[in-house]
Amino acid sequence: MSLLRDTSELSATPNPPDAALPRKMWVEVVRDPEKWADYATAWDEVAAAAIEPNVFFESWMLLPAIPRFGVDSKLLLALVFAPDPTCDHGSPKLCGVFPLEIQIQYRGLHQALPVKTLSLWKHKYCYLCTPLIRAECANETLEAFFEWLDSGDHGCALMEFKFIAGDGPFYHLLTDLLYKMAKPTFISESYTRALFRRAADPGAYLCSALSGKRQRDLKRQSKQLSELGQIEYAALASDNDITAWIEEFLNLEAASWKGKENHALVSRAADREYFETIATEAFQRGQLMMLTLRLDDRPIAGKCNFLAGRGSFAFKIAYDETYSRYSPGKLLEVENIRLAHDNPQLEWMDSCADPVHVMLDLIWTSRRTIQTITVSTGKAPGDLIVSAIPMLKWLKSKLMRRKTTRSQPTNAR
Amino acid sequence: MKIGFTRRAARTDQAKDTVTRRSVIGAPESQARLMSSEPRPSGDATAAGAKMSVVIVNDLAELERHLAAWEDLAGAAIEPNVFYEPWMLIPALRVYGAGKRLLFALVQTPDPARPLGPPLLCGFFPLELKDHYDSISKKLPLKTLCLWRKPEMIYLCAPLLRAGYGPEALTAFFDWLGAGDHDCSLMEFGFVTGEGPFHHLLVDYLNEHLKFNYVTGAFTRALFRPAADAEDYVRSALGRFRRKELRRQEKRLAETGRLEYTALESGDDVDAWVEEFLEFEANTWKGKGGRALVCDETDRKYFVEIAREAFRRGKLMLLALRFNGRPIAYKLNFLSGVGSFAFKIAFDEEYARYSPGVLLELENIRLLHERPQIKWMDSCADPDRFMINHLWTDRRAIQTLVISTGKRRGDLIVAAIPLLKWGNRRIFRRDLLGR
Repeated sequence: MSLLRDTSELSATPNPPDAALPRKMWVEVVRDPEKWADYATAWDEVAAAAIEPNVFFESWMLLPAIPRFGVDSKLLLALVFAPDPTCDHGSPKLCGVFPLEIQIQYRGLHQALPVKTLSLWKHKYCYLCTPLIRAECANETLEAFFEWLDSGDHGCALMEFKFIAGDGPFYHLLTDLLYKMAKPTFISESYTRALFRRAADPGAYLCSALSGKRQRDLKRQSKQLSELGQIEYAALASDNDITAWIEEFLNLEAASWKGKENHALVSRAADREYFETIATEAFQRGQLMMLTLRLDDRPIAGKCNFLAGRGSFAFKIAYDETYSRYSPGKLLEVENIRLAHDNPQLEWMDSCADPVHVMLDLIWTSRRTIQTITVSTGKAPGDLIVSAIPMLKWLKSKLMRRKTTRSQPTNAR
Repeated sequence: MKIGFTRRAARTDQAKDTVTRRSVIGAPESQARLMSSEPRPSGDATAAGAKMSVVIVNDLAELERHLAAWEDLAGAAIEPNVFYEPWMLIPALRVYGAGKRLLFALVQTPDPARPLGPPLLCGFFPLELKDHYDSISKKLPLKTLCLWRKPEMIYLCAPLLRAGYGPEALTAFFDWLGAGDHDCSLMEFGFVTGEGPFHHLLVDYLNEHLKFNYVTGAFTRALFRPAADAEDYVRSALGRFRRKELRRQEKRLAETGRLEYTALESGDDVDAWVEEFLEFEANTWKGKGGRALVCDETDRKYFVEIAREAFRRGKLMLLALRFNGRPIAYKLNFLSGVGSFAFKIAFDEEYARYSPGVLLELENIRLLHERPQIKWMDSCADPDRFMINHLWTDRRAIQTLVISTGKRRGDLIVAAIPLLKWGNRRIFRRDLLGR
């Protein structure tokens, strides 16, 4: 709609509250992961004021991951700063946090390309890599980051925005900027995963999500289960013993198929420690939501979510397979939906699940796109490589006749 | 030239295997089969496994025979798109479609409620057949199918898909793309939503079938989503200073004359309103620049027809800000289910220092909050519109992507497009991004 050329109407009177921050921003790069913790306070502030919440990139969740999952990676933290608007000599204000990894190869294709690539850092238990950007100066912050991409001494030709949300404020910001810069982009991965968005009340939500038959099935299963013993839905409360809850959840998971196939949190000491650390920290910050379904005081299903402002993230679920014909996992999901509606601040919950997760896809009616977008940093020959990737992909699939595997995300839950 | 498209209903199913094999690039055949037989994550039990067929219609008279089904589909679409509703599209096709090779892919399934009755229309794709792929070079004879669009009149080209039947209908369409005798290697989804239900279906399909695709362009445009109430909305969108200034401008206008916000009501004379709007628009910079609706008789006629029809259906929202009885700002929106689309706005430059356009936008925000059934309004604006981007806080991503139909060379061409674009820009210094 190219109609109203009324920029004149507004541009004559700029909007001071929104334009409060001066444009001049700069990027500081912290290469030593041990020094990342020095910025934790300012980092937490950015997380609380972020244009889009991402619990996985909050300091308390990311820092414990470095010694456990990041030792072999070349990590760097790009911090975007703005001068303090209130006084000239005040301390600078942190506006953007980009945890990055330098890879000597580009891995967006099935075969690695020998091109040095910067990428948002995704470790084993990080299910979303949307960077944290202060809402009030989001545009300028991302621009400053791109300027640094172009001029910084990272030596990489490509920048991979890995595992970011393919909708919502950050995606809009990125799309806008890439459009303005007319940069070639390559989307190496794009898939949808289940998202919960609250309805007016839990009843309305469940009616729209589940057919009458499914609702009756769940009621029947719940009834049959209660015939076996005393069933109880419990949610972690602020005065509970967090260690006991963590222990209970870990044991439940260890006894399930995940434990048998060595995919459980307890299967590796580092994973276990990481989970204990972040769960305890989240609990202290009031960002942990843990639910259990107990039968005669024995847990038969457990769920662990992390909260971040208006968003939340389902981290792990586990249930006891001996009771699988009563669908304890589904029953607990329904309870989760009830509790999520009780928290008025919570607008959405990201399932963090694989694209095809039949159970969650059924109960969680919304979807969110997850994308990996590759762009040139601005250094040669970035644009050419980005433009050539599809051709390389085609050549590989057609001429080399190698087996292409289905590209699927690896964040198995 | 007419291309003889006939009913393909019977062929789509038997061609399914070839289609899947072609589309799964490089994957061994057995693996491809395995993938195609995987159950889809379909939420709706009633639609799972619905048998779809594609009927191709290539003339308007025949299309009109499907009018009732099409109307029904538009009302039950997974995502409303007013521009592809029959009352808006048929007049557009009549005036702007002449001389173009148009065809309409109708995806149907037997109606579960009435197995012996007419089939249920589950997908509607208005297509144009082009000899060249516009985004690269007119000289390359790359035959392309595109979703039909008339610039400046059709602002969104998301096809209509029936809620509950989305994955099946989209799969049937792609099956037809692979098997139909259209001879095109490329299918361009231009100006479709880059988020929301249709986008999710497309992403799921492309992922499942490992289809070669390339997003050639993406941008965002302003979107309105109601807040708790209009006050809340305006407070979150505009700073205190700006709100105060707008109040002052409104007050100043009201002091010097009679200021009133008016809206077209159901008993009003729609023709008089539309005439007044056209005349008003003709006197603004758009009229002077030759870009007003009245500057082209075809545009004017088309506009009057759709505005009248929208009014009859209760889908027209026409607002005017009047000063001493004379309009100084105008806004026209179309409504469609939970969605709505801002179509035209105009204001009198003589009053620019009172921001009449912005004042009317605020009135629009107030009125939209009085209609709880409207969940969003698409600004249909260019990405760089300062005023609307400022006032409407939400955004909607719009994208254009090109997909191989599954025919010969399709994948290769899709893979080559970015390289060719790069070459065009770097070597020949031509910007062919189509901006």
